[in-house]
This record gives sequence, structure tokens and C-alpha cells, in this order.
Amino acid sequence: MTAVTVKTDYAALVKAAKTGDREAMERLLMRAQEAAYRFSLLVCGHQEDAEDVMQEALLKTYQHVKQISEPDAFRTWLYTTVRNACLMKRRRHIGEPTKFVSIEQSAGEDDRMSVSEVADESLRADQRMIDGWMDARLRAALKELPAPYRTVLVMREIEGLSTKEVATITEVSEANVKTRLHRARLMLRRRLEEK
Amino acid sequence: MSAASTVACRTILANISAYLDGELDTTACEEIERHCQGCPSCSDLVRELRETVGLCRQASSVPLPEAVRRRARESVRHLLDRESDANRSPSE
Repeated sequence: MTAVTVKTDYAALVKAAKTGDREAMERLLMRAQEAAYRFSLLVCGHQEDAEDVMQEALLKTYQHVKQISEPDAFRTWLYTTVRNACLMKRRRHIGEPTKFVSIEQSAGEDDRMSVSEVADESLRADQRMIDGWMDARLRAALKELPAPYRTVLVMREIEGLSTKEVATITEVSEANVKTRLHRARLMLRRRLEEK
Repeated sequence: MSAASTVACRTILANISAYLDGELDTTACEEIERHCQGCPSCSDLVRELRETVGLCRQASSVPLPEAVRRRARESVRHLLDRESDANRSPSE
């Protein structure tokens, strides 16, 4: 599917959802969450935040669709919202302890162990699922790119946004987006070679 | 490698993204293709970069992990059902 098709597809879903078409709304909300999850994992790299960012994309998209006046601008709005949610998450992490003490840990020793073991197993299962998602070599190589380059590369090549859309979202010129994309491709090629 | 080919190689390197994105005119594209026919290192670079871009584009069609998709779908249905109940008048 080309970038133009994806864009018009989004716009068509927005228009239909706005008129009360539940199926269109469901599809739009699923796509918004998928975009949020991919972006969060590939650009921000915090697996623990990805589903929170996805949830935020769901609620904000639902509220936004009711009042949107330019369906064609939806994608730019969505990725700006997702990017901001990721940045906020990252800021909140600064200064936080690396290990959280849960409410359950104030309970008795036996209780604490069982709750913790269940949580650990669930986390391991989630981790295995995420590790197996997408090309592991590509994800590892992307992780090594500097953030501004990774952001542009993911938006252009994986999410299929246009140069103009990426420039609006990242607040840099279109020429700058092209330069970053060019360098990012060369860096990624080098990293992939090393894997 | 001659000085002339080094300059040509640098030009290729600077324009390779524009070439892959179809942003160059026919003359510029033909120059790159002619150069690549006689320069294995530039030819490899073009091929590898094309593969890199292809790998990224393939990644865009990978569906989310099934468990994540299921949770996302449940969230959507829960939200829409809740909103639909809230919008229903008490007389209904």
C-alpha cells in the first residue's frame, strides 16, 4: 500500500467514523493503537510504556475524531500525539527509581513472593512475545541509531509518512528531514552489516 | 581508484537517497546507473541501501503481537460500548 493510499484510507475512516459508523470507528481506533505501539517500541524503545502510549492514542483519537475538521490532517495529528506521549513518558522516567516497590510488598513475606512470582512470569511471557515481534536484526540496528535519525527513518520508511508530514511532526524543515533520512539509511545499512 | 571516480563516487553517495526515492531527473539517474556499471563499490552501495529500505518497508506490514492486538481490540470495544450506553436515553 502506498503512502498516499494509507493517507486517504485514514481520511476515509475518519470521515465515516465521524458520522457514527461504528465499524469505521473500530478500525480507526485499532489502527491508531497499532501505530502508537510500533512507534513507541521502535523509536522510544521502552517496552513497558508501549501499551500505555497505545491506550492514550485510543482515548485521544476517540475524542479528536468527533471534532476534527480536516480528515486529511489526521495522520499528522496522530503521530504528533503519539510522539508527545512517548516524550512525556520518558521525562517521567527521569529520576524515578529503577525498581518499583509495589503495594503488595507491604504484605506478609509469603504473599509478597507469590504476587511477585506471578508478575515476573507475566512479564517474561510479554517479553518473549515482544522479542519475537518483527525482524530482530532490524530492531537491534534501529536501536543503535541516534534518536533524531531513528524517528525520521521509522516515520518515513515504516509508517509511510510523507516528508512534509514528518517535517510538521518533528518541527524541522523538509530539507532537514531528507538529510536525516539519507544519513539514517546509511547508518542503518552499516549497523545491519555488523549484525 | 582514480581521482575522477572518487569524485563520482562522492556524488553518488550524496544523491543516493534522492535516486532511490525517484527524485532525480532522467539524466541524473542515467549518470548514476552508468557509473555503477563500472564501479562495484557504488553498485554494492546502491543495492545494499535498496535492501535496507526494503527491509524497513516489509516491517511496516508485520502485525502486532497477537496478545497485544487482543488487548487493543478489547479496549476499543469496551470504550465504544461504554460510550454507547452513556448516550442512550433513560427511556430506551
